[in-house]
Amino acid sequence: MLSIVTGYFLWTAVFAGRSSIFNYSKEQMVLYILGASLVQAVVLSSRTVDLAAIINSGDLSQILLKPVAMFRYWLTQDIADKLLNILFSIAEIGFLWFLLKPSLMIPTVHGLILFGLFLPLALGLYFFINFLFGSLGFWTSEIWAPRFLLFVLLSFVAGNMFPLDILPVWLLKVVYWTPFPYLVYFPTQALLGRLPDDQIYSGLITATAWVAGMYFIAKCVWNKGLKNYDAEGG
Amino acid sequence: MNKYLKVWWWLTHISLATNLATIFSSFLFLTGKIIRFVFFFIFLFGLSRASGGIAGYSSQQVIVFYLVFNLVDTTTQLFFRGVYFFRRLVVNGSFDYLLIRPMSPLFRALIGYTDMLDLITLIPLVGYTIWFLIKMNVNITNLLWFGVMFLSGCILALTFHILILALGVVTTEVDNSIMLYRDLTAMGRMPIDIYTAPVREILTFIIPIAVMITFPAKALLGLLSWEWILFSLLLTCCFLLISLRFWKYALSQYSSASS
Repeated sequence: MLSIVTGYFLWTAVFAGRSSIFNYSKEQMVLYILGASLVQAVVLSSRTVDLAAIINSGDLSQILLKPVAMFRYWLTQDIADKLLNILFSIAEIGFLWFLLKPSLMIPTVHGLILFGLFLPLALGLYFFINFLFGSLGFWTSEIWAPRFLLFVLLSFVAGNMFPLDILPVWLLKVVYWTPFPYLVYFPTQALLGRLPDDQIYSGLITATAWVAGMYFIAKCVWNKGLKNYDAEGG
Repeated sequence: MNKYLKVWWWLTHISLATNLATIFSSFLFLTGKIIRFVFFFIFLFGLSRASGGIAGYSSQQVIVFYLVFNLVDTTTQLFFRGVYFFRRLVVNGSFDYLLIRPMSPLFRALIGYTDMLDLITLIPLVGYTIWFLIKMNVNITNLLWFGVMFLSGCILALTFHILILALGVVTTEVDNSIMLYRDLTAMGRMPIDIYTAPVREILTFIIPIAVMITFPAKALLGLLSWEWILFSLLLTCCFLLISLRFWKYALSQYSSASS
């Protein structure tokens, strides 16, 4: 909640005496910050952060013995965790909305449909990215460092701190080639109805390609890791 | 005093050995810290340039606030990283070993782990800050007052860490408290003036992040009056007394349940 408050006050101070900046009005920017916070709470939370620790401790053996498919097991845990996060986020953002009173924007049906398309892609993408990082536990116990680097990158190029379209065009084109903007930026802009038509189609195609690619890589790494698994400590 | 310095030196050696034993992880952590600093620097600079300043401060002044935040934050992280590992000591009963030693358990808990990666980032940060301030022609008087306020800010950060440790002894909840502290201090990356009442007042008088971070930056820019300097020093003394009192109380409540 504090990071949302900080973002809100920062952008309010930036817009002091100005009607628009980076083609955003103050109201649009505040809506983006609040929308991105909600999307971030749903997308960027995952139980698969525990996967590496479970592998290292040997507790994975207990899960492997159960008649459950591994991806579906972790996906179910993720969904349960995200449902809880949605409840807390709605409460937090509702409280902040009451306190800060930004202008209300009702998403259009078109925006909701696009959001409904981008959000599952974002959820799947982050799930597989995290699963991949968790699978590194088969080879090393030093997982926190790569995760920390991932979190740092996400905080700048996923779109949770600022809308990515304020970046220079050349940099934005580079960022669009990475999976990160499809986690927060694209779903949020879709919900707010700010995605140009050409970016809708290219965004959906690129996000789908990233989800498929990350699924394939995560599955390969997981299968290879299982062959390496010693059940040390289990 | 000698004894404490020796212990700190040995613990620092051990921390360095740990970093070197996991050199790839250390490299990734260092890279992450540098990327985080550089990206936010660019973001803040670009934002203040595009908007002609933030909260009445020019882009150069905004950068000074950000650099001072990093100086205070990195210095306190460097020395007080032991707080992050304190919960484990309380939960598994190892805290008892700290209590029976002929040394302040508070000192041992605070400096149990000196993060050498923060030292590696602190050196170029100090260098860049000095270069930036030379370019801004900061005068000696402001620099001296900055020194006083920086020390006061670090002591205030120390009091927060002591309060977190005391809370950890009483409740075993350290991780959530330290994360809350980190989120609160992150609000000081920009000048506190961006916040309106009552947030600004809360951050100045109740949870004095402004005193810890914004006031040293203002002193450096010659924007802090002697009344606020006096207030900061008094507030720091009060917080220090309160935190030490709370630590004493926490120790009296320690039951050593896990040992």
